[in-house]
Amino acid sequence: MFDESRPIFFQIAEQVEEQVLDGTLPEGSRAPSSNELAAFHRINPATAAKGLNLLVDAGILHKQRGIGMFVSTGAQDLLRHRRREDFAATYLTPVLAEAARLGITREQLAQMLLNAKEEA
Amino acid sequence: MTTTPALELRSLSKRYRKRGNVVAALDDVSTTLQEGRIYGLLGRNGAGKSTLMSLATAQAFPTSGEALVFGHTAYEHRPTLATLCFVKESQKYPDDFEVRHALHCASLAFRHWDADFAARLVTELRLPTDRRIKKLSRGQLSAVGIVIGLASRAELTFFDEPYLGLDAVARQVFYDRLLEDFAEHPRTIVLSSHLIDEVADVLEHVLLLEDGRLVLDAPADEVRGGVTTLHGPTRAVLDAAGSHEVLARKDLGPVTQLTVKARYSGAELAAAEAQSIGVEPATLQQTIVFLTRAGERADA
Amino acid sequence: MSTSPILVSARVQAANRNTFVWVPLLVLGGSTVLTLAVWWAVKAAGAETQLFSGSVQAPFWYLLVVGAQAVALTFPFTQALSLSRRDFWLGAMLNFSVFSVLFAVLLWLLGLVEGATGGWWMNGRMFAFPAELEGGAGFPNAGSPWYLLLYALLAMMALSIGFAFGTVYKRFGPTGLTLAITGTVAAVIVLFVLSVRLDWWPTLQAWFPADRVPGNVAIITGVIAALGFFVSWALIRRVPA
Repeated sequence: MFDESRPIFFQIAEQVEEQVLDGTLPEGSRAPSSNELAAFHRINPATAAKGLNLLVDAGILHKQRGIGMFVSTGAQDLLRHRRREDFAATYLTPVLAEAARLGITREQLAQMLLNAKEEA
Repeated sequence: MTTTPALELRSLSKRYRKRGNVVAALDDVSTTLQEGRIYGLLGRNGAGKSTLMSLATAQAFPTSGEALVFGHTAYEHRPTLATLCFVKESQKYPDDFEVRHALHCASLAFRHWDADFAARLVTELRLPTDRRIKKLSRGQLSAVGIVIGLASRAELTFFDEPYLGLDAVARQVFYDRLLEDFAEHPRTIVLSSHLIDEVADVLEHVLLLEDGRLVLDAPADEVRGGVTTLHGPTRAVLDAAGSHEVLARKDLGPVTQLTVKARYSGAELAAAEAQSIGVEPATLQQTIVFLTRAGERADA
Repeated sequence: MSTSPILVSARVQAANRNTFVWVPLLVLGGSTVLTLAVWWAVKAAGAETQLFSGSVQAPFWYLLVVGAQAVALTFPFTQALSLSRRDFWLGAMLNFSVFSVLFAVLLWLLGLVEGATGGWWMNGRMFAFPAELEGGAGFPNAGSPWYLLLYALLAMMALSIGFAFGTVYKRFGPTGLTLAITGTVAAVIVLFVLSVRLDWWPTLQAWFPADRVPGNVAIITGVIAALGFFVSWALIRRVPA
């Protein structure tokens, strides 16, 4: 379920982010609590809480005393914006590296991208 | 937080004579366990895990040093003992005791005992309450310890290899109920285990014993993935390893597999992957195996 | 409100009815029935004499085992229940006392029945040994409160001896137990030899006059029981679970 390269709390944060990004967790809705996350993933609640706190610090969630954590207004835009900034590093760099290894030229790569779009 | 630690070990040692030699079951262990966390007490069989727990709960006596439970030694001290629960892996029960006898006694002894919770655990773990404890399988014996350990809700609870002999379903029941109940009733829990991957994810903090010595005392998040294996062309792998401490090296022709004490992320990870190097972070168990082997080499 | 730790300790030891109720009753019942059967056979063979049996000792041997098991098996479990060694020991005392009194009441009642039925209609004696009978060895009549005291003290003594040796075993292991048993037997032999050599018998007879048998037995069993409990108390404080 988790990959070992990054701390579990980081991956917890990412999973919640995904849900905000794809609208599973709409803005204004209640986010899962650290205990719910812990029970679901069979992880330590403190680890889950650490993941949620990352999102609070990033402005994606906010705490409401005594009730829980909620998805902040504008969270989706915030995430989309951040993901766009990270897109090149996260996705393009490995693709370019593998392409170079296999001897695929930039032009061939561009052609593949266009074809893939048509297929999708 | 300025609260008293749940457990404080001060130069705790247990030595005994074995064929004329003095052997240390526990060797000068000092650490502090904070309230409200789940700790993993890890190490191979015979590393001193059970000894540590026996000394902490005053079931056995240290040769030197002391163990303070919420600031007080547990020895003959009722208020301190009342905060403890430690059912040994090799726990002895009165002759002819049936499971229900053990549970009834536990219900009288532990002040936070939750009878409904205990009954639910008994059902979920499929524990036959009117069977004699002597006749139980290893897994059922473990289940008795789990029911007592969880339903006692003691402020400081020790589980000694709790999953021994349990099937996959029962193990999941244990972890699920542990996390669920821990969330509702936070307390300090120490899980001892020689199978590390088994308990890795539920731990907040890791204590590793090796030949009676405490060789690792760190948050689980820091330990996990703290060791990385690089795989690829020798030149590129060595470049990627940089100045990180090398824990293991294997060569196969022009290819090298190098295990280094480092976590690869961000630019470093991107750079390594750009060089077509396989970057594989170690699991908690692998990390610990590498770290302890490194310790053995340093000794030799 | 949780139960007092001493009571918990006593309850742990009494939790299984087999140990303190059914097995002693079975041993007592078995030895009694066996004795009655033998007597019946003897009578059937035409004997007219007064019959005696010491079969009442059978359950007391079992109590040695109960005492030893209290340390070997019950003690580790009370440790798992986070009870102190002191509370374990006090609970054991409480439990042993209650058992000894109830057991003594049972044997006293059986003695009463034995007296009332003229020795189970066969002129046999196994629970009370009145002095007036030939071979009665200076004991009071059936139904005397002396039997309550004596049987209770005997039960305590048996439990105490088992308990003490059980503690020695837990503290010093099999070698320690062997040494303790050998030492005790040796001490008894040495005392006996010395008493003969140094001619202590008159002094001893003066201490324990023959016309006060029940009192003498009570003192001796009481002292041995107290000694056993003292040994177990002194050792249990440093016994690992």
